[in-house]
Amino acid sequence: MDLTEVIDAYLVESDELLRDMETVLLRTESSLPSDEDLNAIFRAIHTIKGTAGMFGFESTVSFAHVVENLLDELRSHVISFQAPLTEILLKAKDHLSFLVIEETKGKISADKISFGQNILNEMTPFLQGSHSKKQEEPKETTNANAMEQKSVSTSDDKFQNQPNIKTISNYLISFRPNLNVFSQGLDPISFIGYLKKIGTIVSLKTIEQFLPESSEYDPENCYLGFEINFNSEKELETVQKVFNFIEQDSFLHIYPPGFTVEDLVDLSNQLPEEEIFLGNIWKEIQILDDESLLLYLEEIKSRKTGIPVSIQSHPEKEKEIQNQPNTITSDSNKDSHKSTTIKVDSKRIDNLINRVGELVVSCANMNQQISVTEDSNLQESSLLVMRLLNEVREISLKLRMVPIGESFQKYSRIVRDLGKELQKEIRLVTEGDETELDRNIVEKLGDPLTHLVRNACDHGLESPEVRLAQGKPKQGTVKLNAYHEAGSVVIEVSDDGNGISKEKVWQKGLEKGIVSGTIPDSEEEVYKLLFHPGFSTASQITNVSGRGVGLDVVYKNIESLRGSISVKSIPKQGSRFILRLPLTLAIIEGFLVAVGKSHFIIPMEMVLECLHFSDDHKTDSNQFFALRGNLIPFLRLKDYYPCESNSNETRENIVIVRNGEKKAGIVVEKLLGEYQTVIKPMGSVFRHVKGVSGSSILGDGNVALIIDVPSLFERTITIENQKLYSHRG
Amino acid sequence: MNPKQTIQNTNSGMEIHWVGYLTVPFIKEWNELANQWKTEKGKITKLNLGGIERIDSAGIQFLIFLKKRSIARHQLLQLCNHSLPVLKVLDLLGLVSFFGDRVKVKKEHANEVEFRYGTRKVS
Repeated sequence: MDLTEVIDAYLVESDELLRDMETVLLRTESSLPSDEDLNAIFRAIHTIKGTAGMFGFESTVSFAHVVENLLDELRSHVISFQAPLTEILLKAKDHLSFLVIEETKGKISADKISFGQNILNEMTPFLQGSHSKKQEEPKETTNANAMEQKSVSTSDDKFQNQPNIKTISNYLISFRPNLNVFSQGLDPISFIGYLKKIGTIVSLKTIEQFLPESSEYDPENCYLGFEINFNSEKELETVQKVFNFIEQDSFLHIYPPGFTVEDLVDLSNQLPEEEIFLGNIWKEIQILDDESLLLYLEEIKSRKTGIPVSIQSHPEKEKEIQNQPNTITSDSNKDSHKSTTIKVDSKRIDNLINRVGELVVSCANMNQQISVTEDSNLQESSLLVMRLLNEVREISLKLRMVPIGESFQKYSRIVRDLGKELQKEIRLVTEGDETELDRNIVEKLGDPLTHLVRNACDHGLESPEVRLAQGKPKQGTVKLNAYHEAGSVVIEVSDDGNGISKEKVWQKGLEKGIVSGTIPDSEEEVYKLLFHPGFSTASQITNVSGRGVGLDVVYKNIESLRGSISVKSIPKQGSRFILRLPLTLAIIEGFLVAVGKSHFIIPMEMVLECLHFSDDHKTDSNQFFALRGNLIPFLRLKDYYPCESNSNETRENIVIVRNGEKKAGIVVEKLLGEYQTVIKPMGSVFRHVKGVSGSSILGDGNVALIIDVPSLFERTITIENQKLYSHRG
Repeated sequence: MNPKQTIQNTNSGMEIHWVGYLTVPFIKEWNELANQWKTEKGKITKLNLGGIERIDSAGIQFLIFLKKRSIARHQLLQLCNHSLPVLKVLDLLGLVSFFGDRVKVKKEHANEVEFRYGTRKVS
């Protein structure tokens, strides 16, 4: 198995678990955590610890172990949850996030380990009993590959407190040679055979359940695993040495005599086989007897359901817990949901979407060829293929859609921390969490949204004193709202703070020499200055913002996603940054137009209507178009893009497009109808070309440029404004 | 030592005799030889391992594979006349009950194998 893939999975899973943990912890600031909450956090840490142990990430294991102890005492109600624990556990979560990522890259530095130790020290006063004495000093491992045993059991182990449970007096060796062990010239049998020289193999079970079916079986791969009950007087180190040469990339876990049933449960989480299957194997090789097998199964059940074993033996208590909302029922729901969800590598989905894209182009070509034939059957068949292909396209695009709510979640923590840092009371409200958009866009939105949220907290919201003086509630609100509009996704970041002073912005623009003249009426003109590099109206620079670095980057990032950003603000009431983004980056529903021999595609969701462009519509200025009593600015594509116009093409058409709340007209020669197309990004040479968001290959092999309507708008609005000012002036 | 295979048809199915090293360098060849078997549903295939002079993890894994494949195809595969190297591996890895065949240990080999575990089906 390729270890990088496994480590990637570990990173993804740990990230998910830690994010869930953070969400739960943030809730504890307003209400005490439920048993289910504590169990969920405990399970998260336990899972991370187990997986990290499998890779030999010592620092992660050591740190997680102490956090787990604290959570274990909390979930068992040995100690009660107190407010300071939220802060400590959030710090622990942050440090664990750091450890998880960094330890996959190499050894953790001593200063980071001592930083972690400081967090653990903060936990000490809260730990009761032997957990408080048992804090392990984080060890620095010298052998990254060592699958060393990590005796997780503690002296207050619930099993040890029960007189009928004895610890296991032999070694347990769990060995899963890596798939390529034969090609490395290594023979697992000879290593196992060597054990006989330093002790006695009491029992051994060969696990063959992962041997593939005939078609997938490669006789040169190793699919076997071994569970060995081994008796020896030798030290653990000596037993480990037996496997020195073969442990690389293999799974090897050796428990020395004295381990407990709970340790076996920990081990079962790290092994690929089912827990019950492993329990039966350990019984077969005499590691467990009937009694301890039962305990083992109960412990597994308790960890899955969150009900401690001690409670399981009291049916009334169990019933009581089961009747609590959001306990086991939510877990079983989660499980049933999991069974219908599979994780797929995003690269595979991207590949599929690319292929579907190619298919769309090929089918468009085929359709064109078929449309000129007289064969009605063939035409009917091709229409059916197109219909099915459209459905496939829709489905495959949805595969990459994720709810924006997932990324909204992380801002709770950012807002909370900023509130503390800036000594403001801030609450985050999110709306439209279920709004879906392309995963690639969501990923790229992280930084811009973070910047806007930080700006809202720092610049937007006033201090509690000022707010009270203004008759506002002490607590400021930052709102993240997402919704669909005209085939785009709109994300708004708003606050109920001071708002942005138009005059102040314009004044700053004048000072910087970016603009000149009197302040325009159009607030959009003014607020556009905010996105100018180095522009900031902050009176003082803070740790959070005010250096004038960022909004220009936000603007560029949004632009690179074929999106647009606008600002609305009402003095003393707050401001709103509105991001408009395409739903997907791959395929576009377009409207195909032509000027002479050049083809252009206008995104379909922006097209409102098409009209014959006659002289009756034109106003005197020749830049405005009268449509049902409204004046609409327009531009001619042939003026804007260099294209060979048909001189004999006297008839012109106008496509009315909209972006957000505005309308404008684009004058073209031919209207060629709806066209589904794959977006091909422009080469770096055309990076700075305005008004074009991409290109596409048409069915006949010709290239069509995809018009970037927002940037066209910018141009037409500018013309409109200039026109108006010149009228006034 | 290169794999050799002889196949004899019997009333109940066929008997196959293997001679050579059942080890990773030859395992693909053994696999090709095993793919030549014309086994039928319900028929017995006896695999005589008396000529196996060496066997390693790849070899024993291959025997496990053949056993599992025969079960999946509703055929019966029996290992017989196990050579000492095969017996030693069956003993070490506790696989006697997995294959479920009768095992004969010659007197002179009595001290070489123990069969202390893996000899009974566990319910």
